[in-house]
Amino acid sequence: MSRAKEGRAVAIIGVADTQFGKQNGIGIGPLAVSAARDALVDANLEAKALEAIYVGNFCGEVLSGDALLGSLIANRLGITGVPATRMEGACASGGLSVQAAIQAVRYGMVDTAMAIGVEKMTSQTTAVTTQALASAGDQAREMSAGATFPSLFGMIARAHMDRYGTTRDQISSVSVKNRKYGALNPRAHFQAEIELNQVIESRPIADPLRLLDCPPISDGAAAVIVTTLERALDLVSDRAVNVAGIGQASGPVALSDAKDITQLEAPRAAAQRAYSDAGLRASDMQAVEVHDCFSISEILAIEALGIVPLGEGGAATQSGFTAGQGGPLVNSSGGLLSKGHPIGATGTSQVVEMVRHLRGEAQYRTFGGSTVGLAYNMGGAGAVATVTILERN
Amino acid sequence: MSDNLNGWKCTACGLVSFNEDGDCSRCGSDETERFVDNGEGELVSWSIVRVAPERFADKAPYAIGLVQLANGERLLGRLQSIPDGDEGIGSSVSFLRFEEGGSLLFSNTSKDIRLD
Repeated sequence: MSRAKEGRAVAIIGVADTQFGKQNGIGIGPLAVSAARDALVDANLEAKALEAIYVGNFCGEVLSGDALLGSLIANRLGITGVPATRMEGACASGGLSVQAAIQAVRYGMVDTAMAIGVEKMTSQTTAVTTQALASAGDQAREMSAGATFPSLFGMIARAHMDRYGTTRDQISSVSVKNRKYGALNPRAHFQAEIELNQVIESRPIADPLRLLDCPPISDGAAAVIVTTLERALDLVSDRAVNVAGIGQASGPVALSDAKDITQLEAPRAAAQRAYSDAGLRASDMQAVEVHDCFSISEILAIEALGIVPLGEGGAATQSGFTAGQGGPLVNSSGGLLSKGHPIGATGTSQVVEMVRHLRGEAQYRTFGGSTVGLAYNMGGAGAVATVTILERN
Repeated sequence: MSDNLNGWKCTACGLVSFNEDGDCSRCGSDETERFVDNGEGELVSWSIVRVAPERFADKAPYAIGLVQLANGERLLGRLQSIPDGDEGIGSSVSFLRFEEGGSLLFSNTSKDIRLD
């Protein structure tokens, strides 16, 4: 069994997520608490056992009117008094919350902590939401010119096509694969398969990216409970999933500061740190949840994680390598493209999916058992990255 | 001919900025010098914003581009016209003017499709 290099051995004992999609009539607080309570049930734990909570949320103040989510959720869970912190790292807010909980247990600050990720996005118009999401960019130097995240990734896609010969069909094949898996996930926002030509013929959003290259705007929450491995084995025995290693990195906020826009540095650095922490390699990963905030992002992700060589992500996807034909299963949850992308919840839900995978509880989409996997979450255009490696006990 | 592209350059990391003369937003250095450039560069990549943020909604669709100046610095700005298909990467662009809010507008080649 792989174990992080230093500190106490940590394991995940409870996970939960809500339905992703448009959730009418439920506010951000109740949405988060719903996932938190389900995770407590999954861990067979009372809320009062939690000694700290970390809430991943990007834009609560703009999208749902609530900002002080750490304390708000602690209040609603009936554990007012515990340290309760909101973590913000744009689309990597959820990944940061999971790693903060892991670090708190690993370094002995607490014995049991919960990470919650949440975003309530569908109460606003698309224009307001697009503007809120654009706040993860460099306002003075880039977003002031009217850039949007789809357009930043549109530029990345065009550069990747130009540099490596990545084709429109290869990029579309990411969306087709992830929609296929999402159709097997009852929690996914989109649960219908799509064909390649539907992607290519969908409405342009930020050329060359089209509507079906983009994730939907979703509401959702997810929660993960971590404790020491020793305590985990007592509480949930072999359902405990070991945290093998974690890695985190920051990168430039401005796309114009990226040395190479087809190869973002922070995801690569976070992966190397996580592999080093766990004593594992990319080739050891049997299943991965990666940050496909756009179809092109999954191609960049599998290259950054070292699953395929630089420039080969498109061809690998089209060949089925990332659908378990020779490589690890990539985004069996349906990914952001199909499961949905409630910003703050995304990174937390990636860990939820991987835990279910390793426990053998996602059998309808695991296509055979995996023992080691990772979750990779990214914020901005490579400005924040977290990689969390998990292993079945 | 393009207007002169005037701003400040960080003497430590080379970042060019136009909005303010303060600490470098890339490396934190407080050492800057005047930057004057003819604004000629080439297009690293580009996209067309069709779904715009609220404050730009009335301008959509519009093209944005990542431009590399001769000195290697990269700047992101709006393009006056939509580049001609995949031929756009590597094509010549030149700084046209500062727009409201201090963002950059570049003109691209004559064969491109004018948006406005």
